[in-house]
Parts: sequence; C-alpha cells; structure tokens
Amino acid sequence: MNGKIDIERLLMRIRTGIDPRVKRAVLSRYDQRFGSAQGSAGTVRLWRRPVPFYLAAAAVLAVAVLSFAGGRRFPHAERVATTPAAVSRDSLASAEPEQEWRFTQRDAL
Amino acid sequence: MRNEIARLNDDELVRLAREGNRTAFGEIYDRHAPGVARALASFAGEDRDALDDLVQEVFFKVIEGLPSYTPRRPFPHWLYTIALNTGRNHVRDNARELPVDPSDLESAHARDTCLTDLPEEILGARLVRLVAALPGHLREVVSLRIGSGLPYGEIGEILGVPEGTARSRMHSAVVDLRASLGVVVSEQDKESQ
Repeated sequence: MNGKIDIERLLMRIRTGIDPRVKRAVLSRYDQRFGSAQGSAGTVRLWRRPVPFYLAAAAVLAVAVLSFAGGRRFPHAERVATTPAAVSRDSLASAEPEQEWRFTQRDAL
Repeated sequence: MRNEIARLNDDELVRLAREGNRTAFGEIYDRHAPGVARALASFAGEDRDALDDLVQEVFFKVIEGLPSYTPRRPFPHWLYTIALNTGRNHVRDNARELPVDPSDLESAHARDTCLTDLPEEILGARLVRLVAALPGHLREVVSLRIGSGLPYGEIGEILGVPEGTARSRMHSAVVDLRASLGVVVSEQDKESQ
C-alpha cells in the first residue's frame, strides 16, 4: 500500500502557471480604466508610433487642407477659364495651359 | 521604485493602484494571481485556457471595483470573494458541477500502487482533478484554502458559514481526497474521526 502523503501540503504546493498574456491584458485594461501614462506591451500607444508615421500623416493632412482651401478660394476658377466671354478667340487659340492657369487666377483675384 | 512597491502591504498597494499607479497594480497581480489561479484550477477542470480566462476575468472585475472598494476587510477577502463567484458562474454556465468523470476516482484508486514515487507535479495535477470532482461545498472550501491561504474564519465568512463548518468541510475533503488517491489514512486522522 502507499506511504503516508500530506494531502494539505500537496494542495498548498500545487503550481498553476498562467499565460503571460493574461497579465498584459489585465494591465492593458488597468491602463484603459485609470489612464495610466506608462502604457503596456498590450496597448498600442499613439505616441509610440515611428516618426515616419507622423511625417506621412502630416503630409497627407497638409495636402488635404491645401486642396480644400484652394477650392474654397477659387470656387469659380474653372468656370471662368471655360467661359468664352472671358477669353478672346485669339488668346484661346494660342494659349498654353500655363498661361490659361495664370489668367484664371488673376481674374479670380 | 519596484523594490519599494514590493515592500508595501496590500492596502497600501490598493490605495496607490486607485490613484493610477500601474506598478502598484502590477505588484497586486504578481502577488495574488498565482493564488487565484490555484483556487480556480478546480473550477476550470483540465481546461488550461478556461483557467487563464477565469484569472483574467477576476482581475478585470477587481479593476472595475477598485474605485468603489472600501477596505473594511483585508484585500484578499474581497479578491477571493470575486474569485469564488467567478468560479461558481463558470461552473453554472458550463453546467459542470462535476468537471471530471467520477469514474476517474475509482481508476485513480486502482492504479495508484505507489503514490509516494510520483513526482509532486503529477500528483498535484491529479489532485486538482480530484478536487474538481468533489461536491461543490467541499470543492469551494478546498479551493479557497489552497488558493488564498486565508484562515478558516475568513474562509467561513466568504462562504457564509461558521468557521467550524469551514474547518470540518476541509477535513472531509482531505479524507475524501486521501481515499480517492488510495492513501492510508494517517493515525492522526483516525483519532480525529
């Protein structure tokens, strides 16, 4: 038969490993709840993105703003350029695209 | 900083964690997660993923409860009350009052010809399975005892039973486990029965 085994001692010494991802998830939840500034491995922090990300984002934003502002500033630029009364027949015949652009800009201003 | 945090008691850590100190909360996790896992192991049965999920759920609840937590009792009392309820919910939701086939008890008894030769980790894993197969009222007291290490008075309060009841349930559970493992009841147990 078996020898004497201390069941309580064995029970107290049971080891149950926990996946390390559990701690990361728990700390991430803590960060969300308490707004911890220290971040965690499980959380994507905005200010931890690489610098090129911000440069690219800034460039896209700048293009978008300029496009929008240009459209607002010269809302009738394209219409003026294609209006026959605004351009003489001769100038239309000889106009280079660049000249036409300068003309419509000046006219709009 | 880390060493200073590690020297703080639970109440001080909880106070810091409520103020947004992440290191303090990390210390709370490191200090108590193994015990919570040990306590919940028998509720999860042999499903390792379920055990991880349960531990995570307990600490999520702790995070949600921290702002309203009032330290009228020791922190582990609150923590293991949450753990117990989480384990109970898991068993209820999964309809697993007996996560282990009861026939395992007989087979365990039959094949344990020399338990003292088994490595502790194997014996421990077998014990977890046997604890999972105990009746609920015994399983809960064993789980709280081996997980929290709290005195029987505290365990009784968590379970809503007198200290003596918690103590006698633990004794009954140990006797059952011994019988399941085919271990000779010690002379001390014989005297106390």
